[in-house]
Amino acid sequence: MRLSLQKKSGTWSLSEVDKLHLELLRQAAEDANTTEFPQGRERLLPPPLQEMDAIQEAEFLEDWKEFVADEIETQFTSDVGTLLADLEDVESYTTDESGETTLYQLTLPTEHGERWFSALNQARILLDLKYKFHDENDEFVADLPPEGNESLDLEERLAAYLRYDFFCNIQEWLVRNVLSFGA
Amino acid sequence: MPSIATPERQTDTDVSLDQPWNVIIHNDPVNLMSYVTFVIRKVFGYDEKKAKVHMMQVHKQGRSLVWSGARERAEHYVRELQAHQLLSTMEKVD
Repeated sequence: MRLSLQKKSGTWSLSEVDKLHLELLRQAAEDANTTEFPQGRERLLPPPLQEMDAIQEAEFLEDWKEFVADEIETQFTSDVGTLLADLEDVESYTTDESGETTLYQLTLPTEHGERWFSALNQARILLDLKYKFHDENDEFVADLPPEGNESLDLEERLAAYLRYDFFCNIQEWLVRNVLSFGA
Repeated sequence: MPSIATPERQTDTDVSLDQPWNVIIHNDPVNLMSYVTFVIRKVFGYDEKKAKVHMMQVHKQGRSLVWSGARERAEHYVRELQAHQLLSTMEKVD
């Protein structure tokens, strides 16, 4: 399982992408969906004030929710949409003469780097919350105690962690090679 | 010529408007350290060294005061940080 990332002038590309990579990347859109996950939405769109100041600033908080949070949410949705639309344009190629091994590649404009980063980050933030990858001290939790976690399927959690880790690797590369201060 | 009433001075309001606000970034277990540094540089225009100091404060102490000043500007910065998915808030300076 290998995926190559390359930066060129004005573009960046993914190559040696196999079907599993593609599936994982498409899954990011679902992982980033807050529709039935209010706790996740609250994490992505938190209030700008801590409790102490919030009591005196109810009107400001309402305005923030209505205008600022709404605008940020639209941006987040658009970022996920960019990732999905880009994945629609993936090109296939074969790696051997028999044509049995099909891989995929994708070349994207630099500006899409930040949008991909955002989409993958939304996905990881929500996966972390949903599958309780970290405890209250931000320490990684490999094995969840069964008590209180009956609703979490352990195999599902492991699969979610593989996605989390896969997205993280792409993000680490994006932040070092593609994201720019002017974007 | 109508008389012009002298408006009362609302000292409390003036003080409140002038009171500086802090912008705080809070730690979270998901955002990459390299990304937090990148966002601090991008949003505040800090150099890499200063941005890394703030990132390490976030990582080790759970929060970092990254900027202080006028409320309107603080709101703008918190909006930018949240748009980059960093946990951030603003608070009145005591």
